[in-house]
Amino acid sequence: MKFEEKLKCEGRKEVFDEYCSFMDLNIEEYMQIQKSLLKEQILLFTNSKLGESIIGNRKIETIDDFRKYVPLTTYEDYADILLLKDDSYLPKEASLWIETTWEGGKHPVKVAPYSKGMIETFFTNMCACMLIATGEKRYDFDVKKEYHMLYGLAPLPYATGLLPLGLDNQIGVQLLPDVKTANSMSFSERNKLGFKQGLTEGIEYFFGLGSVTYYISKSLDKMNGSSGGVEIGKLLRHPKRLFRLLRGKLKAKSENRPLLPRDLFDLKGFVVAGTDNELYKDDLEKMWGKRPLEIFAGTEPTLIGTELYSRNGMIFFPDACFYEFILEEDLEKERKNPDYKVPTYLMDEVVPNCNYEIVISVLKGGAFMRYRVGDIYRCVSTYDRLDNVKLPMFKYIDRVKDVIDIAGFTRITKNSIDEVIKLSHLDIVDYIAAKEIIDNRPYLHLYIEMDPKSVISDAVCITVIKDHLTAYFKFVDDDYHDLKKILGVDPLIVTILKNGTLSRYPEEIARINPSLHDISRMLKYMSEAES
Amino acid sequence: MTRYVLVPVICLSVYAFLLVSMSLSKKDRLIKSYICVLIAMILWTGGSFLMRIGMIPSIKFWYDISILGLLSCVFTLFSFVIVYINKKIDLNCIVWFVIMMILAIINAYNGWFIPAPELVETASGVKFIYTTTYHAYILYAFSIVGALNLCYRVIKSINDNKELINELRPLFIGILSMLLGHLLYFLPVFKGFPIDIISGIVMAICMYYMVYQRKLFKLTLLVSKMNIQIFSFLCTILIFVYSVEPLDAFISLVLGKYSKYSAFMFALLFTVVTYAIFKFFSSFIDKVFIKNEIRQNEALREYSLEVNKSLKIEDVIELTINNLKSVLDTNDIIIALLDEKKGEYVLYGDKKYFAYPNINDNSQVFKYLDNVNECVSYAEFTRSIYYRSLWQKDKEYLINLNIDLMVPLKEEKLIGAILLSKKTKGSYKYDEIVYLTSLASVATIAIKNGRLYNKVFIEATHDDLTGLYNRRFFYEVLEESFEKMKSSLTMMNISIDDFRLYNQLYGNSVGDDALKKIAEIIKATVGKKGFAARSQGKEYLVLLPEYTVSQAINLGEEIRKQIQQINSSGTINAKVLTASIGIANIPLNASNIKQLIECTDHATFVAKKSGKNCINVYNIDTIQSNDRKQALKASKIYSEYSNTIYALQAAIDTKDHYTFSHSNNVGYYATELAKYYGLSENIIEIIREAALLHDIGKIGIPEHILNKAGRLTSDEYEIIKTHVDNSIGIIRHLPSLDYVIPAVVSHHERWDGKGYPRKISGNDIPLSGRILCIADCFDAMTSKRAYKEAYSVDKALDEIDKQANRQFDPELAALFIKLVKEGKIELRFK
Repeated sequence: MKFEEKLKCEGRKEVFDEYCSFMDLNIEEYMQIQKSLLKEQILLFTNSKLGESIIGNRKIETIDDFRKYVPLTTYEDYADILLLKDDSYLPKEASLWIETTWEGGKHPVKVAPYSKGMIETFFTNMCACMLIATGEKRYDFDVKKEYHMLYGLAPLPYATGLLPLGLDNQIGVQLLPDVKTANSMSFSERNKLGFKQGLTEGIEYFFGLGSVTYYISKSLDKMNGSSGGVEIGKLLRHPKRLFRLLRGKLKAKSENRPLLPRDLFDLKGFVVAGTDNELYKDDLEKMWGKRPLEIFAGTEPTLIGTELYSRNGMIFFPDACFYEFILEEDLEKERKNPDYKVPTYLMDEVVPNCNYEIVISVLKGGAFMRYRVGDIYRCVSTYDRLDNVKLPMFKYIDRVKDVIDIAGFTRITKNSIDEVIKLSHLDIVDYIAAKEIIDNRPYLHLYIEMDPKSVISDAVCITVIKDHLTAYFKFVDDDYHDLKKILGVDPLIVTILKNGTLSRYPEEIARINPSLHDISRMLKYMSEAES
Repeated sequence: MTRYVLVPVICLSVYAFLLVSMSLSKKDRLIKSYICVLIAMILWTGGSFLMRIGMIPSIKFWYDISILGLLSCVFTLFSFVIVYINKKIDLNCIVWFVIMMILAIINAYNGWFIPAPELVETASGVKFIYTTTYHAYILYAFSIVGALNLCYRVIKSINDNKELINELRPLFIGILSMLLGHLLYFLPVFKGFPIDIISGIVMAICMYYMVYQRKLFKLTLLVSKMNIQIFSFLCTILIFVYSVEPLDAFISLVLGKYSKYSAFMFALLFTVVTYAIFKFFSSFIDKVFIKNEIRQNEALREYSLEVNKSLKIEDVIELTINNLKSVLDTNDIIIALLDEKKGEYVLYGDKKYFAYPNINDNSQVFKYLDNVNECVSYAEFTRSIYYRSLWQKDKEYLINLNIDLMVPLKEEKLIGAILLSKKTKGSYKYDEIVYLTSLASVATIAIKNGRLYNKVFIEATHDDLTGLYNRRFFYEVLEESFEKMKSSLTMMNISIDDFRLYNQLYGNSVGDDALKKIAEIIKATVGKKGFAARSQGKEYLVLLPEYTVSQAINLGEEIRKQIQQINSSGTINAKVLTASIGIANIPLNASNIKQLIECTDHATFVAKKSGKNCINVYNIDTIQSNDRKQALKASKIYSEYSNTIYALQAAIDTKDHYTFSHSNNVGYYATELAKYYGLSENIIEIIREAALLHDIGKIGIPEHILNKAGRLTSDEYEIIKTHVDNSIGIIRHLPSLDYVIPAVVSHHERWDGKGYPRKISGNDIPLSGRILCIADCFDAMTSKRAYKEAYSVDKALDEIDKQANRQFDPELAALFIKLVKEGKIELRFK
């Protein structure tokens, strides 16, 4: 029975309990679910060719064996097999292959198989997110198929494409625009059409990447002004839109402020995914009058976590993946000594106020086992009084240090920067790249050091270098291109360092995302050298 | 007060009945909301009644109560329906509550809508005069709007869920009757008759039926025979109250001069009418309400009777499924039973489900059922943490099975579950769930009994070790098969060759494993076409109905080859197991069971005598010739190999001069001891042969060790000890002499367990080995060796006496000493 039918036939309590009972689990019950499902997954995985390629012929029967003998993996461990897209290698037949870019375009696409069970779990947990997003407390939700949803998500085969598909499939909400129409349109066309339809029909749900929802919301600014960017003649042909606009304008005027989306729409549920959401949440809340609910979904891990009513942190769904965590201090040890075997902790072993890299084993026939997604979470507490939750709560911090993620769009690594520098033919001899937040927005800051010879022969100035690098970043990395194209954001900041600065800079300090302390130390070297 | 005053009394009685029955049942949201409706109706009708009888404090007070009840009916009815269609009590309900309360308060305050009636005394009695203005229509308008609002909500729900239309039909009938009742009230013909109150009863009964449809309570609480009698009696009184005058006139007219019997006629009529009403209501209630309950009770009774008669689990399952199919309108019924040996739940049901794999006993669905311990819906299961932990594989099975309801079969621990798919129409009702629970209790006990019976049956009919049927049961089946025999009946006796030797070589535990393996081979090869049993020790019987002899030979050959394979992949020293198979057939070889058994035994005997590891079909001529051949062959076994043995002994002699005569001496001492110990000639012969061969393995020991004058080092001693294994290795290649191995292998074992090679002790050492040991030692002591001079006889006997109970079997040692001292055993010196 679909969610929509359950809403009709069952009581609210029953529906809520079915989808959201994970909130009421204690850690023992949570681990019971995790371990039970992991046993099934171990069985499926060890009997597959993919499993054989990872763990050989070793027989894994217990969870202890699993943690002892299955190595921590990255996509490289799976690429050869998964890129074949051959079901016979998998623990379970793939109902869907989800794709994403891999290291900013340096490698071919990454693909991840989704089994039937995984998709079902994805949809179930997505419905749970909807119930939580549309309510203020347990059993309070407002989900109706008549409601309209504006969404700022990439379509299939990207993982985000599963969300509208699931909402359409399970709840039957009115998507603005519908999936079929949206797939044939560009991103901006889709947003425009969605808004137009929303003005007529209303927007009750808004779902998207944090950065994208912000961009869409900001485009409402165009509505300000005499005619709100829309011709009066056209509006007169759509009295519903006209009425909504007038009502919104009156409301904004009465409060003596510009028109905001919340003046036009009575949003019931607001959900954001992706990275850097923390930077946009406050602004989005101001604009829509509702604080977005953050969820975490990814190509490899599927939909794994959601915030709750208090927005104090996320909890992870117990049936999507088996979770292990690597302590940040151990990551540092690993960086210094690649042979260091990092220990992992289970959900019942995490400690509040510590940062962890997440390691997932996708359940229900997933392909990835003990997989390092590359995301860092902070355990904020092991319970939450406001939400009456007795499970560890997490906040998404960022990607792992060697990956620079900008607004959930692009993942820049040392490889991709090297490639860009090589293609640009700029005489950059050394660099440091760091993600920096300026005015609550994410930027990629490149501290570069030029070859002293080129300083004499070439036109070396920040603008030229930045334009050069930007052009090649766009060329190398489609996602970077989208960042600029879709969000109109130029995330690159270039600082030219004085010759010899980086040679004095200790080598053991990372070239990608060093700590703020290291950067300021480097700048200090430079200023000392200048003086 | 008019005679119509009885109407509200009867209505009140009905409401009270309903209220009491509801109060006694388990209360959920729906029952609670229905109780609210009943209270509103009681207020309405009770207020009206108390007003009419002029109860204190005042007519106005009771009138206001009545109006409050009437208006409360609107929103309580609204709430009832909202709950009935599974919606939350929302603002809409609250609005109607507020509106109706305001209307009631206004009317109570100044009678603006319908003022309280005035009491007027007329010649015919006291009358209530109502003064209604158009204001009353406002009140009616609100009620109608409320009803329309309710209809709108209901229709909307029906659009969402078409199944509701049937369940809500009584509601429409009730609303219609209420509207009609209030409209008819204004017709002159009903003037003064409280038809509106009667329409309230219709409404209440319709709602009662709606609640009953959901089966949330047991109807027998209300509709006992006694209650129906009381109700019929009240109805008759009501009828007679209103018809007494015309009836009296009619009776007087009809009876004429017999009108003095009118009282009798009244009494008679009253009884007849009461009885007729009673019968009418009884059959009506039986038909409409408790028909199912009666049917279910009957079905449960029949089931209990039948199932208690049955001791086979398969029968219990079949009876359970058939019973449930006859009572419940369900698509599929599956029974999952725990098979503890396999560690999984085996599913039984319609044949199509046999294809489904069984469910592991660790599955969360059964853990959940064990935990909840009551009948639960699948939907409820999906809301539990167990569902989240459920393996996808199991989830898909359950979805494929379309499970809707699950009933645990549990006494102390869960033994299984009844899984029911969705009903053809609607959902499972309260009484069906109660029925299922009762049936599950009976089924649990029946299955438990069945299992106990199965256990006892298996113990009585099966061989403990191999799991095959035992000899006694085999003969029962043999007799049955003979009775049913159509064309032929073939019997096969499989006897494992030299199994005693195998046991002695490897120990009983390994022997038992071999017997189990052989049983598995026979069982798998015979399959369902025949019937296999373990007859005794090393013999198996196979019954092959409708098998021809040639088919049986093929089957036997298949078994023989597989048995031969059991140890073929083992170590080089492993003894290969073989089997001799005898086959006989009715009608070819025998005409009755007794003859068949004798023929099969005989055929097996001949197979053994013909050199073992072969199949022999009973044939009288072959037996005679085989007997002769076998006797001839047996006498020649040793002589066939005697040259070889002699050659081997001679070879040793060249290395160790003592061994040749030593073997002969040991042979003499051992056979004499065996003879006086009372052993049979066959065994004595075996011991003699074993004695001749017992040191044959010394051929592999280096000469310098064998003839070393001084004390052996520990390494050298270890090498010497290997001569036992070497002997076995050599004897193994003389197939017909392998029966001497137990004696040879154990002649260096000690009574106290400190010997070699197996370090066995006491009676675990084969008797032949214990005899050889004494003979061997005695000869060794009384002979001169490279490393020692010969002991005197007395010293040797003294040593044997000292070592009795340590190295030697005390009984044999004492006997040997006695025999030597008495001269019954002569001394042999080289």
